[in-house]
Amino acid sequence: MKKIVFAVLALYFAAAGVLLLLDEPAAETVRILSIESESSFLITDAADRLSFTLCLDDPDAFVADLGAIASAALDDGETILALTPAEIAATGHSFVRDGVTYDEYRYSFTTDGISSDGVRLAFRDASLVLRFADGSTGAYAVGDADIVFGAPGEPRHLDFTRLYAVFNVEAGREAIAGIVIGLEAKTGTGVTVTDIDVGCPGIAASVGEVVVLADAPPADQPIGSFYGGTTRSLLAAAEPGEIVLLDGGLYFIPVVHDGRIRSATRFMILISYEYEGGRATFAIDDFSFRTPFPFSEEYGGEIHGYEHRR
Amino acid sequence: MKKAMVIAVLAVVAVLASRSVAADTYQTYQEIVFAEEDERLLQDFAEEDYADYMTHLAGKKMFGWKVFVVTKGAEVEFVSETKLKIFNNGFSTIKHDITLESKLETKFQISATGSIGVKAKGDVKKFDGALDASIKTEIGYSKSEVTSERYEFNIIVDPGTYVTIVMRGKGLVSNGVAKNFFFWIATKQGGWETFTVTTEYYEIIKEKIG
Repeated sequence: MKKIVFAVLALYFAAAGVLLLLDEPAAETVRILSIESESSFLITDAADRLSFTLCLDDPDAFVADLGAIASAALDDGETILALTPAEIAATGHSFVRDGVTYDEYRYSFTTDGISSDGVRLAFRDASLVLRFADGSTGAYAVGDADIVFGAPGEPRHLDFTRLYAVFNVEAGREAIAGIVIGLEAKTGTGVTVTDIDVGCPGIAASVGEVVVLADAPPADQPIGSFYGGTTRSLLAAAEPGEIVLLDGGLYFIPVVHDGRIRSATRFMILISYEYEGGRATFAIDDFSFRTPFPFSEEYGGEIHGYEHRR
Repeated sequence: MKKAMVIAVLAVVAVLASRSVAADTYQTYQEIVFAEEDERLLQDFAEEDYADYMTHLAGKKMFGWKVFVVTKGAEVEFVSETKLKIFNNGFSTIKHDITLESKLETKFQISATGSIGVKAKGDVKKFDGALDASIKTEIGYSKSEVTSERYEFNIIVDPGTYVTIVMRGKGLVSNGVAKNFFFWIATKQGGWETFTVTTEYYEIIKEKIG
C-alpha cells in the first residue's frame, strides 16, 4: 500500500513540475532588433499598407501583439507621419546575433485618414515609433523611406505593358540590377521620358544606359551581357538620359546602388516625361519584385538592438 | 485458412501496386527546370529507375519506415501558374486593388506515389505517420510553421486589355522512395517528394484582348 501511495505522490509531483515548467510566465523584457534599410511606398488610398521589419527574441512578447499597440508613427525628427497598425506577421525567418535567436516580423500599417495627393515625404534615418497600451514607447531605427501619395496609372499619356526586375549577384549578395519595362505612348504623337525614379533611397535608375530589347531577358541575366559582355558593377554612377517613345517598346533600365549594395525588393516607379511642351509624372504602385531578403547584416545596413521592458 | 492467407496476400499486393499520386501545387507549375540535367521530379521517374531505387530498400525491418533519398536539395527554377489574370471587356478604364499573399505552407510542398499517404493538418501538409519525420531528418528540413506576407498593388486596366501577374522562382527539390514494415511485412511503399520554394519573383504583363 505504501508503495502505491509513494508512486501516486511521485507521479503527482512529476506532473506538477511539468505543468509549472510549461506555465512559465512570459519574460518581463523582450529584445528587439531593427535594421536600417530603404523603403519606397506609393500610397494610393486609405487602405494601402506600408511595412517595416523588426526581429524579436520572444514570439509571445507583447510587442508582437497588434492589440498592444495603441498608436504608431514614422518620425525622422523633421517629419512625422501617423500610422495605423494593420498587421503583425511572422515571416518564418530567424536571425542569430550574439547567441540570441530572433524571429523576423513584418509590421504593416495604413496611413488611414491622411491624404496628400502628389506629396512626397522623404524620411531619412527614420524611427518607427510604437506606443503601447501600457504607456511605454519604443522607437526603432528603420532607415530611409520615401512615401508618395498619388494615383497610379495617371496621367494617361503613357502606360506600362510589362514589368519585372533583373537581379544579379555581386560580391556574394543578390541585388537588383535593373528593371525590364514595356512602355507605350498613348498620345499618338509620342512622349519623351526624361527620368525614371524608383523612389528608393540609395538606388537610382540609369536612364542614359537604357537598352532597347527585342525579347524579354531572364530575370537573372548578368547585367554585363546587356552591354556586350563587359563587367559592370552595381555601384557604377547613374547616367542621365532620355527615352523617346513614339509608339512603344521593351526596355532594360539598369539601376545603380549608392555606396553599398542595397537589399530593396519592393518599390514604386515614377516616370517623368515631356509631352507637348508640358511635364508630367506617371506613377506605378510599389510592387514586390521579389521575396524580401531575410533580415541580414550582409547588405551593410546598420543593426540596432533594443531591450523593451513590459 | 488458405482462403484467408490468399485474401491477406492479395490485400498487401493491392496496397503495394497502388500508384495513385497525392499532388501539390508545384505540380501545376508551367515549367520546372533542374540546375543539374540528370535530376528529375518524382512524376518523371522511369519505371526501371523506380524499381532500381526500391532495391535500396530490399532488407526487411520489424517496424517502421526505410527511406532511400534519390535527390537531396536539388536546385530548380520554375515558372508558376499565373497568379492573377484580370480582363477588362468593358468600354471604360477600371482600377484594381490587387492583394498578393505569399504563405509559407505553399513554400514547402509535398507529394507522394504508391501507398504513401499525404495528410493535411490545418494548412500544413505532411507525409503519413512517422514517414514525415524520417524524410525531414534525411533532407534536413525543420520548418513547419505557417506564416504569410501580403501587400496591395493598385493598377489601371484599359478597355480591351488584360493584366497578368506571373510568379517565377527558385526552389529545392528532394525525392526518393520509402517502404513501411509491420512485423517484417511490407505494408506500404512508394515515392515521396518535397518542393521548397526559396525565392519568388513577380512579373506584370498587360496585353490586348484577342
